[in-house]
Amino acid sequence: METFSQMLQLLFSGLTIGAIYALIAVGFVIIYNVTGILNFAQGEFAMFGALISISLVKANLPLWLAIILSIVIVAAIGAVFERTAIHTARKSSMTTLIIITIGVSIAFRGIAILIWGTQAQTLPPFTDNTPIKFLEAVLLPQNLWAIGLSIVILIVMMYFFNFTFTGKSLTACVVNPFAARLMGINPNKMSLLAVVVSAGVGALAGTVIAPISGASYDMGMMLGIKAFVAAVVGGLTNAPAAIAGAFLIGIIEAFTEGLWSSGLKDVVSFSLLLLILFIKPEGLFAKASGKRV
Amino acid sequence: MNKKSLKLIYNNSLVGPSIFFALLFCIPLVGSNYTLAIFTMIGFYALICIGLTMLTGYAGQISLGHAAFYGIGAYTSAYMTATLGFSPWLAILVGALISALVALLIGIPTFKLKGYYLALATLGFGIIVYTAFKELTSITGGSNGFFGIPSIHLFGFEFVTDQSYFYLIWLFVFMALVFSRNIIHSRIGRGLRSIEGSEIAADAVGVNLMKYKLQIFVTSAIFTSISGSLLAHYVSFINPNLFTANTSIYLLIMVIIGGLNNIWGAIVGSAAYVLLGELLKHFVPVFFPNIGGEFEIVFFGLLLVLTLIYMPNGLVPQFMKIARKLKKKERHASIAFTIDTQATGGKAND
Amino acid sequence: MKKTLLSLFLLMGALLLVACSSSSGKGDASSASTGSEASANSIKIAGIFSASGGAAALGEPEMQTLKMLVDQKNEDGGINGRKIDLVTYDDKSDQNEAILSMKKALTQDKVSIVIGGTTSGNSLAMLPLAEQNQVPYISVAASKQIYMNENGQARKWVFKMPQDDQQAVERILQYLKDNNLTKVAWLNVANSFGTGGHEEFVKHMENYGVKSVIEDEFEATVTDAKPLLTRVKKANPDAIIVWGTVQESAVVIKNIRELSLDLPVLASHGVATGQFIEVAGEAANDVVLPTGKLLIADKLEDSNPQKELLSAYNEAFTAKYNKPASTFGAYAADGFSIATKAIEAKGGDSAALRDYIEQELGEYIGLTGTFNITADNHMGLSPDSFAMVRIVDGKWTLEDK
Repeated sequence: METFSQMLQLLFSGLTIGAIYALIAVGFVIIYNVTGILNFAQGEFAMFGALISISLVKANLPLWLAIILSIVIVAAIGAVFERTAIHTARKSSMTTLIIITIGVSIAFRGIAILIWGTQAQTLPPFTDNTPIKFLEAVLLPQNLWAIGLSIVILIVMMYFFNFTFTGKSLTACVVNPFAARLMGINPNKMSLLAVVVSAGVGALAGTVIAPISGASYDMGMMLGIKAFVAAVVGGLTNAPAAIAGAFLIGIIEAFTEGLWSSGLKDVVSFSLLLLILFIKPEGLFAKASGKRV
Repeated sequence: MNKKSLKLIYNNSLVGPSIFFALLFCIPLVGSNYTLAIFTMIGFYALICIGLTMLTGYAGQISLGHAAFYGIGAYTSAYMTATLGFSPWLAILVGALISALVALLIGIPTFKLKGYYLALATLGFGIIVYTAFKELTSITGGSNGFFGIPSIHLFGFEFVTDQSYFYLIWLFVFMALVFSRNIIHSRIGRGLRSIEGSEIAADAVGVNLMKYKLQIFVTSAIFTSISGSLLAHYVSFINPNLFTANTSIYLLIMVIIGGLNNIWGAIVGSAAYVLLGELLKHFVPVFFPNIGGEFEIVFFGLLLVLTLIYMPNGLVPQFMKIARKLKKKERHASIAFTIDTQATGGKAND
Repeated sequence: MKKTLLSLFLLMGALLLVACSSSSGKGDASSASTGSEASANSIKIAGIFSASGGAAALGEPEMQTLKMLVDQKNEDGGINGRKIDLVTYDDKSDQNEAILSMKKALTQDKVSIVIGGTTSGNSLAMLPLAEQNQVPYISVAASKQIYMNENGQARKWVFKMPQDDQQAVERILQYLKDNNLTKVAWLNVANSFGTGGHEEFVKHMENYGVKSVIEDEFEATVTDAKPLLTRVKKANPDAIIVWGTVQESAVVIKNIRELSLDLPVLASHGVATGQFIEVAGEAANDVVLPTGKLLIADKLEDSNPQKELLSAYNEAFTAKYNKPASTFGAYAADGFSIATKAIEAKGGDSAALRDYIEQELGEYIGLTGTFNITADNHMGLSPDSFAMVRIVDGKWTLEDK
C-alpha cells in the first residue's frame, strides 16, 4: 500500500509539472507551425507572467485581476517582440530568426533582473491550499489548478484551431502559406497573432507555477528548455501531441526523481530528447506526414 | 556579392594572417599583464569561434552545446594531467579525440534530418554533459570543481607567465585560422557556399551536404576542446559552471557579432565581446552609478538582436564598407586637390 | 581590406588602453575614495565580489559593506593618516571575470591586499594568482580548500573569514545528538555549497552517533521536490536536514509541510536571511538552523563582546542601504577590520601584512566570531561562532541546547 501511495504521489507531481510544460509547449508549437521559428524566448514569457503577477499582487490588486492583467501585459510584450524583432527580420534566414529569439531571451532575462533583482519571490496560491489526502498521497489545490488549466487550454486551442475562422486561417498558414496568401490571409498578421497567443499562454503557465515553486528571473530558461523537449518528444507539428509529450516528460521526471536519483532527472529527459531525434524525429505522438519542411 | 568581397572570402594567401599575427605578437612588448590576460581570454574564445563560425556561417547550423566540448577538453586535460600524471600535450590530444568522437555520434543522426535539429540535439547534449561534470565527482570533483591543474611544459619551458601563455594560445588560433581557411577553400567550403543553404539545390547538384556538415561540426568540436584544455592549464581551477548552456549562448553571440561570412569574424567577434565587456564595466558606472553588472546581459542580448536585424553579416563587412568609403573619399579628395592646385597654378605648395 | 581589419583591431586595442588607464587612474567610478592616486599618502586595497549574477544575494551586501566601511574610515582620517584607496570589481558570479579582476588588481592596480571571492569557486580560481604575486588575500567564501592545500597545510597568502561548512554541519550534528534524533535524512542542493556540506556530513556523522537513512540531492532550480520526498518518507527518518540556499530550500521545506511529514526540519546557514522567511512563508516556522550571531544580536547577553560590534554594524548598514545587514556582509566587514589592523601596524607592504595577520594579530573579536589565526590555521574560528536558531512565527529565536 505504501508503494502504491508513493506511485500515486509521483503521478500527481508528474502531472503537475507536466501541465506547466504543456502550457509552454503549446506556445512553442503555435509559433513553430505558423512561422517556422523555434522560439527560444518562450520560457521567458512564463517568467514575465509570474513576476508581473507577483508585483501586481504586491500593489494590492486582487489575485484574479493580477493574473489576468499579467497575461494581457505579457501578450503585449509578445506583440512588441514580434513586431520589432521577428517582423523586421522576416526576410532573413531561419538560422538568423532562431538566433534572434535567443538574443531576445537573454535581453528579457536581463530586463527582469533590472526590474525585480535576482531574489526569489512568491505568489499566493489561487485558492485555499489545504492539502487533500487521497489514498495516503497528498494533492494540493494548486496542482489541480495547474492540471485543470492546461486541459482547459487544450480544449480551447482545439476549438480555436478547428472551429473559428481565425484559427482556421492560422492552420491554413501552416499547411500552405502560399495558398493561404492567395485566399486573402495575411501571414504577417497571423505571425503576430501566433506570438501574442503563445505569450499569453506562457504567462498563464508562469502564474500557475509561481505559487508552487516561487519565481525568479532565471526560471524561464529551464522551463522553456524542458517544454521544448516535451514538444519535440511529443511532436512539434501538432499541439495535442506536444501536450501529451509534456505530460510524459513530467511523469518520467517525477518517477526518475522519486525512484532513482534527482541528479539524473535532467539526464533522463534530455537523453529521451536525443533518442527521439535520432529514431523518431517527428515525435512520438504526431502522425507522420509526407510534408515536413 | 561583388568581386572584391568574393576575393576576400576566397583569398588564400597567408599575407593577411601573417601581418595580423606579427602585429598581434607585438602586444606583449607594450601591454601590461592585465592587457595580456584580456587578449589571452580573447584567444580562448577566438579558437572556439573559428570552428563555430564555419559551422553557423558555412554549414548553416546552430549549436547550443559547444560549452560541452569546451568542458570535455578542460576536464580531460585536468584529469589526465593532475590525477593520472600524463603529459598535457597527450591530454589535449585525447580530449580532442573524445570531442571528435562525440561530435560524430551526435552529428551523424542529426544531419540526416532537414531543418534545425542540431540546435535541439546540442542543447540536450550540452545539458547532459554539464550534469555529468557535476555528478561524476570521483573524476571531475563535482560542483566543488577541479583544483590544482598543472601548467603546460614544452622542452623544459613552463608556460606560466601571461606572456608565454599569450603566445601559446594565439599560436593555436593562428594554426586554426589557416587550417579553416583551407577547409573553406576546399571542396567542402565551396560545396556548402554554392548552395547557400538550400538543401534541395544541394541534392540536385549531388553535393553530399551531410558529410560536409559533419566534417565541419567535428572540426569545430576539436578546436573547442583544445581551447578548453588550454584554458584548464591556464586557470588551474575549473568547475562545471564554466560549461553551462549560457556559455554556449555567449559563444554564439560572439560569432554573430563578428559575422558569419568571414572566418575573421570569429576573431573580431570574440575580441568585440571581451573588449566591450571590459569597456562597459569601466564606463557604464560613470553614467549610471547605481546599476549592477546585469546591464551587460541586456546589452549583449540586444546587441545580438540588433546585429542580426540591421547588419546580419556582422561587424567585418561593416568595417570593410567604411574602409571602402574612406578610400573613395581619399581618391576624390586627392582629385579635388589636383584640380585645385592646377587652378591656382601650383601655388598650393607654398 | 586587411588594413581595415588591422585598423579595427588597433581601434579596439586603443579603446582597451583607454579603459585600462582610466581604471588605474582617477576615472574609476567604482573606486570609493575619489581621485587619489596611489602614493605614500594612501594604501591601495581591492574588493572583488559577485555583486551581480547568480551569487548576487551574497556578493552585493559584501560589496556594499566594504564600500561603506572604507568611506567611514577615510572620513575618520584614514589609517595612520593615510587614506584607503579602494578599487572594487564585480565578477558577475563568473569565474573568468574573477580571474581577470584579480589579475588586474594585482598586476595593474598593484594593491597591498585583496578582500573578496564571494563563492568558493571564485575564491579557488583567484587564489593561485595571490600566491603567485605574493599578495595577501582574504576570502569571504566557505570552502576549507580555500585556505588549506591538499596536504592540510595553510596556503601561505590566503586567509578566510567565514566558518568552514564543516563547522555548520558539526553544529547541526551536535544538535541532533543532544535531541536524540539519530536517524536522519540528508538532502542537499546540487551545487558546490550542497556537495561541500554533504562531504562534511558523511565524514562527521558517526562521531556524533548519527546515522543517515537516506542521502540525496535536489537541483537549485527545483520546482517540486515531492517525488524526492516520497523516498524520504519511505526511509522513515527522525529528522530531515535540507542543505541549500534560500529559494530551493524554501521549495523543499514547503513540500515537506505539504506532504505533512511531521518531522523536525534543519536547514543550513545558507538560509539565514529574512528572504527565506518571506519566500517560505508559514513553512519556515519551526525550522532550526545554525547561523552567525548577527541575526540574533539583540538576544545576546550584554556581556558578550560581539553584541556591541554586531549592533553597530547592523545599524550602520541599515542606515546607509535601508535593508537589514546580512551575515555575508559581515564576512567582508571582518576581512576589512583585520586588514585595517594589519595596515595600522605595518603600512602597505604586502609581505609584512601577511606576516602580521598570521603571527601578530592574535585573538581577534570580529562580527562572525573570535578569530585565532595561526600559521597552521588561516581561518581561526571555532564551531561555537555558530548559534542554533529556530524560526518561530516568522522571527529568529535562539534555540537552547
